[in-house]
Amino acid sequence: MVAYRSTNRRRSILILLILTAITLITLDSRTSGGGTARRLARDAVSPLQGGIGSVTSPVSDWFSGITSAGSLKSENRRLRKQLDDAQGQLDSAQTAGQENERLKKLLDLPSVAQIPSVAARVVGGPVGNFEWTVQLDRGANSGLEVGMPVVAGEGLVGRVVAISSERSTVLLLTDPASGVGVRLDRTGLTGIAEGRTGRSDLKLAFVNATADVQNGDLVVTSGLQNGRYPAGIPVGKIDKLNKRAGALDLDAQIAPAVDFAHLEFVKVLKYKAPSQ
Amino acid sequence: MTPVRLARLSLLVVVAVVLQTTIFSELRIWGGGLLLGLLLTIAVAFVCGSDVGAIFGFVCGVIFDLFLTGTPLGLSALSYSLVGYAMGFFEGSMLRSGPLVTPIFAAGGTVFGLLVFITGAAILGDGAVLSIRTVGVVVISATANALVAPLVFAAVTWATSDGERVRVGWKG
Repeated sequence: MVAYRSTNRRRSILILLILTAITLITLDSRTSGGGTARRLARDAVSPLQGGIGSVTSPVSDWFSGITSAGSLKSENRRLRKQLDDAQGQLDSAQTAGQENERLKKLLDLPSVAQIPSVAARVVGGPVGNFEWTVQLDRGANSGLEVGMPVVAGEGLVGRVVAISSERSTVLLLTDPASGVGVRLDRTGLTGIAEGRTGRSDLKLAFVNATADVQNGDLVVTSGLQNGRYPAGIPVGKIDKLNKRAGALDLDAQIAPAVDFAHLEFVKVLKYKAPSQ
Repeated sequence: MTPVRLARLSLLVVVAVVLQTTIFSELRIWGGGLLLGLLLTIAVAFVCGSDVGAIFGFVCGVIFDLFLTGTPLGLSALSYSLVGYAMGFFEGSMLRSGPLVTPIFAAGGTVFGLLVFITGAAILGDGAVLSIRTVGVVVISATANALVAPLVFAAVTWATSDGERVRVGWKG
């Protein structure tokens, strides 16, 4: 009889915990109460994270070096070649850029170069196994807010999705929950760049199968319809095209402009979408 | 549960959160890595039984949920409390002997916990968790937790003991 009561008590505790957890999930999905709790918790451990992070970062860097040692040599060769190509393109790009700025001023359009930004260092990766995020060493105290776009030298990285006083979390473009309105630089064609589970490339969605898209086409943010991102930030280049007979949508992949595996420093643009 | 044990367990949770959000957020192979919150829950369930395991799992899960981004608050709490209950229940019907007990226990609990988490996330509409990559994540995380298990189990044994010496995992 005692054993029976004990088992019943255990089951009651478990059922109570499960119901509480389901209530929490429902409340968090319907309200923003969880956001405040998250921010308070992140603020509370932020000083400890800073201290531990500075002590353990050499270990993390060493581990990262070991796990990616195989690709570093070939990457180095590729980057040297890219640097040579880029040097040649720099002069013409500068001229085009100046002309572009003049035209944008005439049309009163915002330019990425004019948007104030905050430089930040990547100090951590995702906390869970099923999210593609990085943590930055700048937070609300540096003027950052949820929703702000994050860029690296090469292009768009993602957007701020969580923030504490001293840290912020950035949802990378490669996260399946991430979607960016994009435009093909060559043709002006628009679509959506979406992350894919466990993949380092992006999918170009909502583009007609008969559209004029070629391998190597530059993809930039569209900035259309009060988008989250200002227009013209490089997202990547069309990498693979699969044109299938009878398909309604184009099957195209985008190789991101940014190497997400080796992010170190980024810029957070103090940009608010016009709709916010 | 005495205040001293409670304070020690709370200290372990804080250390786990700080380590998980700093060094272990970067030590990942193919997306998988050590899951300290889950491992702590499994260890508490092993040492203290299913009641305490379920309650500790719930509290620990809520705390870890606060640091996750893509999933709702409460999902880790749900999976950790189920793991705490199940592993505590399972522990009651097994012999505590052999050097591989704690790693196997930790690996099994990690697989179970991740399966509950993945199922919950999928039901809530996060289709991204259902992919081939997930298999690799589960295997790597279970292996990592198994490797670190003796250390964490020893820490939990210390936290829940009142001075007497208790050895977990192997006869000695």
